[in-house]
Amino acid sequence: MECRPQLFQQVEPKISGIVTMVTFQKQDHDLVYQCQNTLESEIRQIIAEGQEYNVFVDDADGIWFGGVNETKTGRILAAKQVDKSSLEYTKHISRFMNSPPKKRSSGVPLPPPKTVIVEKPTFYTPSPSPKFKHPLGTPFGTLRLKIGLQTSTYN
Amino acid sequence: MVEEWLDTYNYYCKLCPSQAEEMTQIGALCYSNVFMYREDLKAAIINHPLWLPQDSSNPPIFDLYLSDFIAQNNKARMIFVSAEQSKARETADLFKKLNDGSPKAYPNGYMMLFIPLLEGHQPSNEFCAKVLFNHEKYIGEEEAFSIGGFQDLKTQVKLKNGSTVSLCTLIKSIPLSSGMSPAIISTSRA
Repeated sequence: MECRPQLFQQVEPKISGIVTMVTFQKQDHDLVYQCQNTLESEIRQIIAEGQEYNVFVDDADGIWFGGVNETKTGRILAAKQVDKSSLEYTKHISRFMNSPPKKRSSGVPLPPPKTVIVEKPTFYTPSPSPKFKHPLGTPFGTLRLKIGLQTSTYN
Repeated sequence: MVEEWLDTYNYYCKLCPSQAEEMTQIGALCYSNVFMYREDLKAAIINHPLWLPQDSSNPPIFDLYLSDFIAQNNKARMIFVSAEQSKARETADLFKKLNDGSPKAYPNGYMMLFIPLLEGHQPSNEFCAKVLFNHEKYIGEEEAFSIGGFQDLKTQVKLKNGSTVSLCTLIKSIPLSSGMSPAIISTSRA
């Protein structure tokens, strides 16, 4: 564990903008909670006169504390192991990759193929006009989205 | 309906920062924390004096997201960086300059190391294991709680000794021992 001289490790604005989120080492839990009582007065002692309105939303109310709402375990977690059957299957597949399959032939030469004329299909393929610019930046109005697993309050 | 499904299975959906092209993973930030407010960090990176893109009129678009850093069957949560495919290398170079571990003002005052994970330049498993070990050793076991009643963290506050610091720096400088330290640590939110 790194030795930290400060009370808080992280000081971050919460998405709501109403409260500030602070983090500390779990082992300092009791000490940090003891400091809650004196935190406001310590800040008041060091700021210049008249600066209270730059620090506190309401000078009379001061600050208040919420409970512990997040905990992060600092342990290195074991990654999900690939099961044995999947590993064996991967090995099985990789053998095929090393030696590509050969074309089977009966040994008898095949007759030359007949020439078949295929008419060119006339599908409609929309081409994006360079002048057209979608307000969200994509030519066909399709939005690029990013989907991920929710793991934190900050997503 | 989609929203309901995403919510049920703990997924989130957001608009990709670049609507012009695909984003690709370019690296991870060692010593980054799950509690970091990534939108604020992103703004701090863009406003940092070392963020000097080649074409300032069309700067590279990047995103910060949480993911698992995996090494030798172990993993830890870290902030990863993705960038537009065409500007992946340029963005990685900017992050290398910004988060190189040297003593300087870091975005939001958080010293982090950029680990490049560009396609074709994957670091060795041993190196990744070292990164993982150092990262978790530094982060430790953390708890978080909220404090209400503070002004915006970027607000500048004048101190009795005549210096002016941001409110964030002031809160971060409160020492662990009792009694306020007269020295304010220069971890300014650059």
